[in-house]
Amino acid sequence: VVTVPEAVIGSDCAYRERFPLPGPGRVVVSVGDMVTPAEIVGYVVERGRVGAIDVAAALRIPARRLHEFLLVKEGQSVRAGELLARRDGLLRPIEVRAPVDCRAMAFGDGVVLLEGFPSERPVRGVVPGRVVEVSAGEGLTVEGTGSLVLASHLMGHEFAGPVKMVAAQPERVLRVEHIDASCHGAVIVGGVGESIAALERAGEFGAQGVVLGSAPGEWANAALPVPVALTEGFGRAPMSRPAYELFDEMAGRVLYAMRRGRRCWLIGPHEGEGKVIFSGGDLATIAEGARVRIAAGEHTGAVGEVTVLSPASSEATIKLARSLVRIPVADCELLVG
Amino acid sequence: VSEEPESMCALDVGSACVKAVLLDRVGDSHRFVARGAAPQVAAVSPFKALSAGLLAALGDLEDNSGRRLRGTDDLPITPEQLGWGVDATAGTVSTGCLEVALASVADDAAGRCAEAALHSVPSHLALKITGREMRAHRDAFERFAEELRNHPPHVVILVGGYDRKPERAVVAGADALATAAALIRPQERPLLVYAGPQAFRPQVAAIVGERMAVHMVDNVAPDERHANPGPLAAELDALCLTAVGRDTPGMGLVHRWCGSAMSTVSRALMRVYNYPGVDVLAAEIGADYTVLARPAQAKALVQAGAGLGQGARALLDESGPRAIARWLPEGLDEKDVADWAMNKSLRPWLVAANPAERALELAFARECLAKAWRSARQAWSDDGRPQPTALPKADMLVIGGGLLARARSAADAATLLLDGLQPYGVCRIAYDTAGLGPALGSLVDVNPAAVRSVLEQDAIAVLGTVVAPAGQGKVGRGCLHVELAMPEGQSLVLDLEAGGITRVPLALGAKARAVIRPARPFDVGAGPGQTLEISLEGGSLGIIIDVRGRPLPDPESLPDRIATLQRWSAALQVPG
Repeated sequence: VVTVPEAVIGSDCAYRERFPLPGPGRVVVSVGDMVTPAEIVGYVVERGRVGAIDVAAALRIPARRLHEFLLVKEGQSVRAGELLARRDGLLRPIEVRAPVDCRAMAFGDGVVLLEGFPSERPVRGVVPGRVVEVSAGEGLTVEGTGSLVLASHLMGHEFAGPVKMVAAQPERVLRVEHIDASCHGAVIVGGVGESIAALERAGEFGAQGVVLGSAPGEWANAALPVPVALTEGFGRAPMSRPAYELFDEMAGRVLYAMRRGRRCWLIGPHEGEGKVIFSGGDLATIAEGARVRIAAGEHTGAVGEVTVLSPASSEATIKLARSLVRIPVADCELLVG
Repeated sequence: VSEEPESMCALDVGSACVKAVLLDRVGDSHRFVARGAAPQVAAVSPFKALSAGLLAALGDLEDNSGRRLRGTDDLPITPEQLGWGVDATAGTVSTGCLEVALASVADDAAGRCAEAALHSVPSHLALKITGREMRAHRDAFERFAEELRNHPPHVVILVGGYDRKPERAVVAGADALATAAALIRPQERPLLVYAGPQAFRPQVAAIVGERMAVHMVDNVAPDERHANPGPLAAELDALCLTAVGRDTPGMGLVHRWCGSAMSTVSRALMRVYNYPGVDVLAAEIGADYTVLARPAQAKALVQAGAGLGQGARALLDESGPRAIARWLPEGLDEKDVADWAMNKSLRPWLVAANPAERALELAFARECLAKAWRSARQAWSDDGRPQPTALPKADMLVIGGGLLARARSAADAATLLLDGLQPYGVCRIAYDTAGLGPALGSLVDVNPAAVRSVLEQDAIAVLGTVVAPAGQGKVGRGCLHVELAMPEGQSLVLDLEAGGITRVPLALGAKARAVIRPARPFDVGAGPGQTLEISLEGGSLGIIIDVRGRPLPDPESLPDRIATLQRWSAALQVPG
């Protein structure tokens, strides 16, 4: 028995995610509400800009005497033009005023630190499903069921749209000619990424995003015309066949691509029993007979059965459709779903 | 009866894998018994607990050793009872890094020393401000205060001024930092580490104490001539273990397992390779970063963004694909370099599945070592200024890491060491065949004799002795005349031409007397063109005479480069 990561590719998965707000804020949905990644589920507080006023220099006093001349307290809100500090001068008083509406947050070293008033930023990006728990000011938990692929990576922003299959085979390279006006508003599922020209065409036709098996490593640092999710990784690996077949089944249905850490969750929500419990990609143990996906080498993306597991040599023999391959156990993922 | 622990379990909680090793007494000495390992999925999946990998690795170790180590509460069974559990546990943690802001009163030696100290721990210098910027109270200070508020680091370091001639500017700096810290929510406020003049400690504590916890350490620059980064480095090392990953799910269990014998990788290497009278330079190539440790000089360096997992992408971005592709054989190019680095950042636990991936891994590893040494040249200099010409020279070089534990041959390890670090002079070379270095380092305080026994018997393989003159010459021109008196009595005379590498078999434990006469401008440690008489020790590869030149030549044209690499590999008999 050896421990490996899970590869989740399931047509009937149940998922549950605790979604903490990314900072102090408020949750605006309630238990029982149906939510999608595009919906605003809460707001977080964004604090204002910081400004420093050297009051001691302005009043021509030593920094240690700042407190004697201040007219505001720490944390006090002030309007633009309101007096912060004042000292009697020879002919007329020397005054220091707030440049904008703000709060005087801290005093020290002769300085007054000001902070603009806070604003609220909306929070989106939960998994599609039903809200089952709300922790006021902290976050929420959402549960749902649907088809799910734990993909390797997402380049660009999160996206959603109906699935449009353009690759006749999972190893087929995505080309410009595969993309036409029917891709408008869709999530294009291709095989292997090779040329950015195909992505440019997808962008021109208004595609929401592209799902591929793999793509060149240089794309990771490039400004892509449309966001791209990779099921396998970088290089020339075809999309793993179970993932390809699942997307084929989902054609026309909405698929959400969401970034989670370095991974990407591809979810097509639908009512179901939730036969597979998905918890974000766990560790699992494999033994002989386990169905695994290969995650490295020339067989990346291939799915097969473990026929021999040799913990001593840290190698596994995998029976693929047409061959037996021997690979490091560390390069196997237990196929779940 | 010895009171020292007999059976021990050491963990190595990394950012790609978690490893657990079991050591126990076997006959008269302590030996490595078994290991367990598991991928660290928490490295790529948010909210996954570190404990998942830890428990999986322990489960694997239990399977492999046939010994139960955990109680029903998942905590260690200690001490050993009737063959269950172990007498002691320890471990290293290398996930995450210390986020640091540095306030330096002047742009002087103190700031450079503080940065050198930062280099000795896994850290990220997120913010930096000088005394002048603080005193100006303008844009730079506003940005500093806002960033400090938006992304509070773990630690703020305040340095500046000498002990003999303290300047009050450091007190004003403390006041400015306290003011900026007031913007941070109390529960998020960082710790202030003050490493300035001792005379101002009371004032700094009084000014800052209400807003931040303060730790005092010895001045990093006590006077104009001396640097003293050690105490600050030690403090940062301790903080790494308490502050980093404080809120990471599962870290509590890691702490419970490692107990008081928890260590950073750099500290562990400093302990395990601390051989009195021997200047060892040890390198450990990890997933996130590469560590160099030189215990004899009390110097360690953690090179962030230089690893074979998550660190591969940063390495590629900083060094560029050319620096890595220069080590690749025919058929691989810069595109493969980018693909490999990206895939390793997504699944850092992957193992090379074929010769092409092994070549890519070794190419990245060479650049990891080279980058780390470039940083060490600066961080380890006495005054914080870079030493442009220094090449690594030590009595013994040891490299380790997951890659070395999977090395297919001793020649692979030697190639990596010689190409990556480019040592010069005469030094012994070795590698950690079992990836045990960090785990053993965490156990040094628990049972030093056991650690030494395991290290020497089960971990370190001595490759041999390298003779590598500094300098460069035209390929084919005479470079080195070597006379060897071999242990069996025969003598060997070698006239070597620049540009090559030669191996002379000499068994482990055997010694050969050598007279080495370099041609000018080559230098084997006695000075350019100066003769060196020395005893050379053997190893699995014997004596390696590396006259390729320092720094190593890097042919521009692809065919030349590939032919050169093939020639070098053949000389060391690296498997193709």
